[in-house]
Amino acid sequence: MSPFKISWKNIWSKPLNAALNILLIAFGTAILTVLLLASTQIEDKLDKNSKDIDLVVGAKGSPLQLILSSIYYIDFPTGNIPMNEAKKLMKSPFVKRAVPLALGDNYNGVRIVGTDSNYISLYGLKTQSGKFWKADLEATIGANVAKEQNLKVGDTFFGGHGLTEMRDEHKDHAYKVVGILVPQQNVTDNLILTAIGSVWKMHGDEGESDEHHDHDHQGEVEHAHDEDREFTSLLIQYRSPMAVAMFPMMVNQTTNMQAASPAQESTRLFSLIGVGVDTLQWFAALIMFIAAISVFVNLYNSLKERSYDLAIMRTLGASKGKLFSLIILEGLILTLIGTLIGIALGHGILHLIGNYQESSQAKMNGLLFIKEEFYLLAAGLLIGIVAAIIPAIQAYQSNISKILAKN
Amino acid sequence: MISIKSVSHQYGTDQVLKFADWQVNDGEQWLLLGQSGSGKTTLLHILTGLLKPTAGEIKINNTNLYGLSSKKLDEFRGQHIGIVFQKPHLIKSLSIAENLLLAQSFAGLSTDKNRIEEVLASLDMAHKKNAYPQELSQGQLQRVTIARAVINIPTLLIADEPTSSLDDKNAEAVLTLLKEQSELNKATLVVATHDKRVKDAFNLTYSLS
Repeated sequence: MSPFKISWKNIWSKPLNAALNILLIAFGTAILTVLLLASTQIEDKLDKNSKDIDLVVGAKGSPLQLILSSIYYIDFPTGNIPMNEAKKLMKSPFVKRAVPLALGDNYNGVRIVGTDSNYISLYGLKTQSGKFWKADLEATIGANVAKEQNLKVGDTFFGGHGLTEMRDEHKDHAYKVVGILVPQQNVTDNLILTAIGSVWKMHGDEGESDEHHDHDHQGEVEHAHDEDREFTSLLIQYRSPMAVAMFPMMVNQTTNMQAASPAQESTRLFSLIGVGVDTLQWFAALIMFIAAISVFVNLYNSLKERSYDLAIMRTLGASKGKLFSLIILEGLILTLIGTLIGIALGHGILHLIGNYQESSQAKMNGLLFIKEEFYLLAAGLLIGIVAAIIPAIQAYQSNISKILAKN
Repeated sequence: MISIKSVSHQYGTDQVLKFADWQVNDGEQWLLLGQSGSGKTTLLHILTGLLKPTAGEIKINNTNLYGLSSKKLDEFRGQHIGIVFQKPHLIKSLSIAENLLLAQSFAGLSTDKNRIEEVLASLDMAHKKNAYPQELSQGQLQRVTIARAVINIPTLLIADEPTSSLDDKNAEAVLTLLKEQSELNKATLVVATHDKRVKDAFNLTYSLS
């Protein structure tokens, strides 16, 4: 009869105690798993999306908001910048590549981004079918957009005004899908890319009155004439490291625009989220600690009741070491089950959160596993050993002659 | 086959318990008589390798019991000595058959289900194989502990006050079973008791004063 089976049967001879221990460990592990997965995924997404972008130039306002709207497509833009001024910056010797963005419309909540072909090389985009946009009103869509909105090459759709809901559809101009992107594992999977001209066209380039969408116009590209044309923001890649020091200062001091560094703002964002994550982490650690104590108390109490059982086992030929390992094994089994359930629960919870998340850009995925989870498993097992060690030593040292004589 | 020579034991600073030398041959059936407090349990624990005496030597099958390492001694006990305690005690979380399996594997022997069937059948308990200890009566539990004591075909079968909490009829039944089983398994039997009802069943007696 294997030691595992003996320990296993003994654990389940008290199902409520066992369940309580497992529950506590599972709960603590689940919280830690969610935190671990969520922060890894968010960090990963932030890194991937801002990988080659050194600076974002946009209208004055919150730099974090500018970064969120222009790189992660989460928040609303800070406003618009005049095209003429933006073009001057694009020609600066510090700039290797500058990509203009025009935001303001959506299709069923998917953001429509007006930009030029520099965007393709910036993100290293490839199409899986069709081609990249060229003319106005041609659209190349992200892989997820094609799947979720059920769009194929050749389909047409109407853009809606705003960034999140379909209101005030631009019924005058239909977009035509000309290509679908290969999954890029970044924001572009969830975007509709088109020429800047398309976005301008939507907003009255052809003399259409824009009286009827006068409400919250912040961040939308509107005006018709060349000198009045606007971008939402510019994504900039530096030519040389020197630019890091010079260029943002120049933008902020000499123009009416602001420059925001994705790296700096991401760090700031993380330090904001970090406080919450830290608190939750301590909370989970506390639960794990309580779980460890609970396992310890459980084993310790049952040891008192079982001292005679253990003495009998010795008379049957079990060595001291065997009893020691039986108790340790019980601790390990409890925490192993708890940790495994906790990790599974964590993934489940994260997946559920992902399903209810509105922003498709920061969507969590509960089906991704990372190697740090092995540390959680190891930590769980360590807790099992630590909780069981004192009872195990007691079982090892017990004087069987005395125990048997007493009964 | 069992010999104890100049054995004595002292608990703390208490009086020293001295045991007369004793020689038991293969297959004999002995009564170990003594009032409570006379050191009966102490001697049984010394005999079974559970308690190292302060002085003296115990040999079973020509093996010097306390010359063995702790682990070897546990194994030796599991393989060669079967013990029946006053109160039948089984592991509650395991079924009857599993309790017997446990005795086989703890002794370091390979598990043998046929042997378990055989022993349970010889004690008329085969039908309770898959039952759990709390489902059995005291008498049935006592039978299972006897089964557990003989499962590994021990050379020495020791019973500590097996009849003290039983009525006349059951006491006699248990004694009969012990004698039967020791003969069946060719084991030497030592029954420790202060129960006068048991005396007549044995002709060899070791008395403690």
